[in-house]
Amino acid sequence: MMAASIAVAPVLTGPRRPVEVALVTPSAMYLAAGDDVVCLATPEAVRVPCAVVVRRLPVVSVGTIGSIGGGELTLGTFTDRVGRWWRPPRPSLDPASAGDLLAALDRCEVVLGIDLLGRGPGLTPFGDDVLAGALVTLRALASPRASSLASAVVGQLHRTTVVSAALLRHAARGECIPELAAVLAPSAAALPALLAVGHSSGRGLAQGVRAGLSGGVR
Amino acid sequence: MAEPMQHDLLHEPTVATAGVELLDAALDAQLVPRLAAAWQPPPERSVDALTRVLADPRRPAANAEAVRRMLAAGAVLVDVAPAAEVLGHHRGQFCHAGPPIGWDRASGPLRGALIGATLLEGLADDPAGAERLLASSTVDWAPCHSLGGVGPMAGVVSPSMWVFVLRDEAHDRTSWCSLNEGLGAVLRYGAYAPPVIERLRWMSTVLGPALRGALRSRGPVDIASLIGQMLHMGDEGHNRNRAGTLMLLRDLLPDLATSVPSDQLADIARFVGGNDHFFLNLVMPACKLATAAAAGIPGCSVVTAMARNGTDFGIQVSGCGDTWFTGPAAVPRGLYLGAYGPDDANPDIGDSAITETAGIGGFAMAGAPAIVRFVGGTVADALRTTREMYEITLAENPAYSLPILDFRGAPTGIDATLVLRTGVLPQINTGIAGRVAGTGQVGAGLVEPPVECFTAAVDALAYGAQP
Amino acid sequence: MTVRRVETRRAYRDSVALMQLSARLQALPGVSAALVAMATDVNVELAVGMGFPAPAQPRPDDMLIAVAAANQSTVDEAFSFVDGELAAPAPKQAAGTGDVPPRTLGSAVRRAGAQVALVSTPGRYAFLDAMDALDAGASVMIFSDNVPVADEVVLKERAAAAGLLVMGPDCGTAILGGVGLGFANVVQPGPVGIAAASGTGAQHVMSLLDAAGVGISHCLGLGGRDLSAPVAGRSTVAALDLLDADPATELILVVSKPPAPEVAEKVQSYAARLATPVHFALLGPDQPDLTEAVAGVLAQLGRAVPAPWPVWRPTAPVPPRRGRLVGLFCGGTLRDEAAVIVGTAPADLVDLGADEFTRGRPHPMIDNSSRLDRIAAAARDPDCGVVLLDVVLGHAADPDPAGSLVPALRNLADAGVPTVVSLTGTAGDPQDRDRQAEALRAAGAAVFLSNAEAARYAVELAHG
Repeated sequence: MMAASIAVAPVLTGPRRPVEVALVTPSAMYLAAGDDVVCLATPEAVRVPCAVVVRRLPVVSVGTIGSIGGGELTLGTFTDRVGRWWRPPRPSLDPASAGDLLAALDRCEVVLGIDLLGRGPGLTPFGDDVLAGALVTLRALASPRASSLASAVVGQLHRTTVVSAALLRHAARGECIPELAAVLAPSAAALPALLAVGHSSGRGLAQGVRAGLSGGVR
Repeated sequence: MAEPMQHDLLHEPTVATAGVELLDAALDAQLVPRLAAAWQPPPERSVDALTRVLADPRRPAANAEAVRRMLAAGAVLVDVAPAAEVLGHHRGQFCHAGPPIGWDRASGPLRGALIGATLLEGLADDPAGAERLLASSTVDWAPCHSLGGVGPMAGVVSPSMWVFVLRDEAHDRTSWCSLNEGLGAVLRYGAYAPPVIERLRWMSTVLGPALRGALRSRGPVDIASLIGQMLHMGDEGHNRNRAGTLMLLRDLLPDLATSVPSDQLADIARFVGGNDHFFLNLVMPACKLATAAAAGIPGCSVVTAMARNGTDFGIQVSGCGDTWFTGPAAVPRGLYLGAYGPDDANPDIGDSAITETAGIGGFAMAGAPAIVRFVGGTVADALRTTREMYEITLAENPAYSLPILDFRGAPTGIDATLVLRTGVLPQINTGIAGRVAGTGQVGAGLVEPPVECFTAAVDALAYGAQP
Repeated sequence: MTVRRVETRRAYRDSVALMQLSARLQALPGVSAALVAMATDVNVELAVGMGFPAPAQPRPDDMLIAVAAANQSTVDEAFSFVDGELAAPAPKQAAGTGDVPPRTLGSAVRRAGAQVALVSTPGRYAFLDAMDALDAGASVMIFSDNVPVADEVVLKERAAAAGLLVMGPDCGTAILGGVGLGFANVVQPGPVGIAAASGTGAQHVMSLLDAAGVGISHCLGLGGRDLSAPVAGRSTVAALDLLDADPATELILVVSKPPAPEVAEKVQSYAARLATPVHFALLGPDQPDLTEAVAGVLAQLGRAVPAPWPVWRPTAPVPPRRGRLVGLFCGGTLRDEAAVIVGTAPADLVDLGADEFTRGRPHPMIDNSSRLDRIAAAARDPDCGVVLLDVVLGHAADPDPAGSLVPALRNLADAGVPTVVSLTGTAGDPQDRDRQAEALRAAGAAVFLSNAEAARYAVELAHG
């Protein structure tokens, strides 16, 4: 049984089609079916909006071709069905209540440096995480700038990795990981957990939240 | 106005379960995070009473208030004084450990201690005369607990004995406890031979006044703080008090040195330093202050006393005031001194289970790995014991933390309903007294209260419960 | 000659585990009767009814073990088998580090940070566990039945004061953010929030909505008595508030067995004040059936009503024969709905999930064995015109209900008795709804996704 995000329901329940293993980490595996990306994740992995949670990852390498659709995923000898669906968080935020959060973001050491761009073992380039954080924040604020930034970003997705592009598409719809949703509750107390996500992703997202809240997005 | 609903409920909740495993398996199939309780049915005869007690609308707030008070209570040693002065007692009035009991049902060690106290007070010339006097009921005795104090083992206190006086300023309350006599053949274990009586006289004439003088010159000693420290030094405050004793000696020695003659000072330092349990008699009244602060709250199911008189084990619960709920005291399981064995042991005795009532002693066993074998176990047993006690308590005491459990606070505030529902009885570390009057200590080990105490207490709470 | 032995043990296992143990004993060669159950008065009576002597001074928290076999050694073997099972170490208990499992539900709630607690302990104790979980700050689903109504009211009042929800008692299903509790179907997220005082009723409307391509935001259980006069809709009001505040819920459907009129009125006027539209499917004479209620929901959402609802007709239908309609249900609400449709026509509709049939036997939703005997009897009964069955799929339900039913249905077909099946389940259910339907159809049954349509068809077959 798999626990799948409703955000990837069209891929999972649509007609069966080929899917390719694009990237493998110890706790998650990204699968590409055309432009659609699904993250096969263990229960411990960061719950990205395109995650399909499985008890254990199949033992397959990058480039393996399987099939997806009809509620089922097959990769080599691995076959599993969706046992439940969940909805990725799509936070909403009242700007009037975000003062403390912005102050906490200003205090915490979110280091933005050009040296981090595209570096480190993280799955997503740092700059993309900042953009994702800003997109989700603007969506949460129901800011009119959200749509313009979203279309600008989505139009340029060919410039980044397949995985990062997929996650930015979710961010453009306001969908995010639970750690970011908790911060936008809003709760400054939830910041440490966000900052701990990934190698630098959490810090990038936090940086994006600050930009989104303080109007530093053009 | 109700609080807002917890919307978290609607976002992929984490599930706690009790009951049918098939339903747990269905959650596992959906990769839902869950935790199952190791559930067992409560005793059949208590189900209705438990239902009434848990339904009592006063209970949640009453229990929260009880543990708030327990954790807020302070304990400062303010004086050392003769019992007659502190309790207003006259010749022929005694205190003892545990729930009330008459001579006819009194156990060997309690009889022995009463005989010794009668001799000490000069009420009889010999043990036979003392026994005749005690059996004739012209002298009277009452539980230490009924006078706000506590006594280890037989817990017998007579007017000429000196006691520690402790204050809880937060709740404006005083408690007291006798001075510890040391190990082996001592009055609290029922021994009354001439050396026992001589030692008691020395304690009243030399030790007590010396301690009083030093304390008055130094100023009050914060016992709660010393307890917090001793728990970081391998003591659990019931069967191991070594670090606490040495810290107390450290704190008093400079003022003792300047106030008593040097030959007395050497005797006092040797006596206190040579008795690892000297500090027990300060831990106990400190614990009594904490539990007394929680007493007498209507609807409250927190246990405020556990005490034994060598025949009966008694408990008190906050919602039932001073009422004792008793059952037969058990013989502890443990290790015996020398050639003594279980046949020589008296059933459980003493007010020292007040330490467990306040969350230390057996409850803090995880912090005292050095004595796990003394009480017959492994380090893993000690960790398990403390973890089990969290299952029957309502709070964790941040002032009494356990480093080995990542500084988790000691499990504090026994809920009588949890004891019945889980079948987990409070774990008590204890000394073992000889069965025959005059023998003294024969060993040390572990003991639990009889479940009847909790059954009766919950029945009484149910009787007084609000619908 | 039969050897009988009855003993008690100081042990506890949950009822399902006990029934599985009983079943394993019964399967031992030479064993003619066996019962492993907690020694409650009811179970002791059951043992006596099976021909066993009453045990000496049984206590309800003891375990009763009764075995009858052809000889002493088989009886002894059965007892040592049970003792071996009881002595087996409890799973999931870490050794060495002194870890202990949570002993109470409240402790489990606090340790896991759980938002909801699932209580399936015997009804006599369920109040204690539910109150404990509420005190620990979790909402509660009470799967257990036999909880006194006064206790239910106390729990729901305490929950309301703490801003928590009590689902139950006798709550069979709930879906919270996609997480299914109890008997739960696999549904896609969608706009419809359900508040149900009927477990199988809720499962049925979800399965119809799923077939219409409409998903569920949440399904909150209420407990079958929530709309009765004493309980007064306490959980219904709480659930309506929760669903009204939920951004994913666009429309609310309240499903209940026949409510107390004044409570129905109160709840309906409360619902009218909410921002989210609320539909009611309150069963009873002169009320729309569940299929009609779902059609109303679909119309409000602007979605097409499937015409027809999914149906799997046998390739070679069994010709109708006049006679009594025998309905063997595992869902109480499905039985009640069928009863309204059958009306006064000669029929015998039983809910085999009701308490009197589940004592000492597994619920028919988990295990069909209690129905198989009655199906066999119907096949031999010349007065029987048609057999109407419900099959309910989903998590925790029988992993392959068709597997055990097919031989019995073939037997019915051979006897010339037509069978109609009301199949409640979704395309995503672990049992694979379509495969189940195909297997039942291949055995000669007419299979309907709509319980109302199944009942009407059965009436038509039996009474013309």
